[in-house]
Amino acid sequence: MKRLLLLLMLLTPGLSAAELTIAAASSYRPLLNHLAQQFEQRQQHQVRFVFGSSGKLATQIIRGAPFDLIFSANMAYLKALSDNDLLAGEVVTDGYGQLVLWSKSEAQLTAETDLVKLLQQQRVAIAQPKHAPFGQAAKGYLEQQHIYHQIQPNLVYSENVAQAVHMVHSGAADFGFVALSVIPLEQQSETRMYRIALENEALLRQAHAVLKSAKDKNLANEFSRFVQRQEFDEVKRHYGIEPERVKN
Amino acid sequence: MDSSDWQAVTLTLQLGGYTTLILLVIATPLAWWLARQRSWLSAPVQAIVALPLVLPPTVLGFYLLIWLGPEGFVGATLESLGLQHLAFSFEGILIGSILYSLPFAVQPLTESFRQISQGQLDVAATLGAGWWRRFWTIVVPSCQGGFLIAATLSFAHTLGEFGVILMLGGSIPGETQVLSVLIYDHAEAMNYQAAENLSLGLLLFSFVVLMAVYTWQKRPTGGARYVAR
Amino acid sequence: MLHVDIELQRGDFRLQLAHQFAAHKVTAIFGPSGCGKSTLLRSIAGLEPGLRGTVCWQNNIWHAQERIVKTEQRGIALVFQQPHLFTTKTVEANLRYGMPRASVLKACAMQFEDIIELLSLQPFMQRKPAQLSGGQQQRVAIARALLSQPQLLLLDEPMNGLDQAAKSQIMADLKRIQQRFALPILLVSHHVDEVVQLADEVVIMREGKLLSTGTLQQQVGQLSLHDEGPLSVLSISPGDNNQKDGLLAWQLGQQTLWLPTTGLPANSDSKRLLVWARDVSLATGPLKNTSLNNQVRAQIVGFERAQHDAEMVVELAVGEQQLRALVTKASIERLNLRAGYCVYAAFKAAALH
Repeated sequence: MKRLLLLLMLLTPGLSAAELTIAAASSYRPLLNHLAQQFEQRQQHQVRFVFGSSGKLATQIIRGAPFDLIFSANMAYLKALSDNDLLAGEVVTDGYGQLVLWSKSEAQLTAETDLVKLLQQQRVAIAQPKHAPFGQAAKGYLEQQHIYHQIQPNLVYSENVAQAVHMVHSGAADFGFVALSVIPLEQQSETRMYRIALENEALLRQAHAVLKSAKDKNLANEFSRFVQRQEFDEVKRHYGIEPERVKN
Repeated sequence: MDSSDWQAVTLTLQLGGYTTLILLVIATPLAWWLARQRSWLSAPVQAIVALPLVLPPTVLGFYLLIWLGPEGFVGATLESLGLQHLAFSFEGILIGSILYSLPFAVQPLTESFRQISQGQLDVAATLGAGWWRRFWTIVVPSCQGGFLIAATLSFAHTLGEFGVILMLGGSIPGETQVLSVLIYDHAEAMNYQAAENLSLGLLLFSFVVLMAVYTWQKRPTGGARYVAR
Repeated sequence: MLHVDIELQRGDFRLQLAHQFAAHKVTAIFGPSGCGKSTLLRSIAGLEPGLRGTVCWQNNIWHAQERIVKTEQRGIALVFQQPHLFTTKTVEANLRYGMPRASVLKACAMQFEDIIELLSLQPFMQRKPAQLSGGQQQRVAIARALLSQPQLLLLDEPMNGLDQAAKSQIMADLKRIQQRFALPILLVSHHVDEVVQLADEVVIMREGKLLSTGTLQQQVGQLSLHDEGPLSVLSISPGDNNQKDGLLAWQLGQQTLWLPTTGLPANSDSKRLLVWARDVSLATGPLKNTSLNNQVRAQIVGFERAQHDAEMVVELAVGEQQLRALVTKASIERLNLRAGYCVYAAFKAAALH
């Protein structure tokens, strides 16, 4: 083992030549992976991502994390960054997330479905409403329907929305209030989910901003402009983020 | 296994290797002092060394994030000297790993230093051996079991480290994204096959390392009487 | 000359002692357990932190307020009660541990092969310490100490816990070593026989302090630790090598003694006999019908009080040597013993050490 350690010493910590480091909420993952691939192909620049919950990423940025851009599912955290004078430009709205009730098995879910009856004796995954925007939206919806107290005993909480998807996917939970964008494309069958129409869509506004800590502001701005291109509207919709409703 | 996976493997081994080497250098005098001195300071120092055993890694990660970050006293001092602060960097998670694995290096060493015969050290001194020679010819051979356990546990424990690194280092590929964090990331992205491959690899590697150590210890001539608890 | 003037506090115990040790002889430091003998030896070796005072060897200051020479630079060797062999090394590696470099060793008194032969270590060279008996281990420890070419050898009860045979062998070895190399030795012991066999000078300690010092003959009266009573030491030399029924003839002045061959080193030049006064009986004429093997003519020099009121210590002269006998007052009256009278002193050979 000593020889192995010596060998390790000779290798310097391998830092990749990535030029953009982007912090992004978990709900952005499939979309941004796709867009970054396009960007890398066309611009010959490397992009690397750090995914996590919006709150955690914002905290890390406040503590000095070396990110160039942040893509957040929660406006409150972008505001906090702005208050801390950490944003280098405007907050750009990418679109609106889609909250869905997702079932682990086939289910005929419609607007008429009695959720109280359906979710009785079932485990329902939800991202922690305290800090995860999709959890917050789901809780708000249940409260507005006046059924939150009936369903609350069945809820199981996850740290972020990706984990809620994970719980349903693995069968640990029977249903989940999750973001459409996080459900794997091949599993986005309409027979297993119900799209929830929210009264206040602004709750799920997905937006990004260039950070003051960006090493190359031009490149960061370039990526920001790149993802705003109209040609990607269809892609965004495909991955569960609705760009059309920007004008409200 | 794609290139980012290999990058995480290399990074993890580097982190483990550096952590182990630095820990052996730091822990040896510290363990020596704890084993051989009776001072009112021993108890508080022992308690501090053992803290990572009981604290949630996130607590340690949280404090380190504050101290090493640009506003913490370490990070701010470094920045005022024209250097980089240490949060979200390889150096930062290296410091985190060293602190987090400190008890795993100090405790076996302290235990094995306690077994050293003061008589043998005294004899060596009367035979003309200076401090350095006594250390290499008496302490190291009689404590090789303790050193091996300390090194292995530090290394293995660093491989398994998660909370501190996630908190302090984030998950930056190539810089702070070690295997455990990458596995978590793969799982979160529902990239189950990749998560499974890496997990299995880590499991087998850890098992082989630990088994090698325990096999070596059982050798009748291994000279290592210390058994990790 | 080793000059020691030191003070050391260890809890309730206080060592305070000033003395000049002869530099070419065997000095025994004698006293009961806990009197500070070992601490004195460790202080001389530089192994006791917090020591105050001075220790000087020849013209070198080893320990003074402004200067402390480290143990490893004092050119001493210390053999402890436990052999403390390096457990991970072979006997040979143990022996070579303190040896000077080959180029330096050439000019040294104690050569590797000589010491191994002297202490009969050849068969054990490749063994590990754990494979040796206690006596063998202690011989390795002594050889290891000698091979470091010390200018002063410190022995801290090196025969503790060994059986009589191992003890006799090591005592004979030490004697030979001392005679051959004229190595100054400080021997800590609380066994009278070790002191009697090896010491030229005796330092007697009690409770951290020096009680009395002098040559062995001067100190013989002080050598009783417990209630064994008074003793005497006789120097004897080999006789005509007459061996008879397992006994060997020895000369005490002009007279012959018969001693068992066991436990005695073969072909040693001269030997000291430790004779307890309680083992000596007196008669006014030669004894004929007795099981006692040894009787010598002696002249009464005087009488001393004994511990018990009914007894007296009779001081006798055998040639130029002194012998003590413990007899009852009643016997003295009955035999009408007076100073200047000649008597026969008889003692069992088995009572001799």
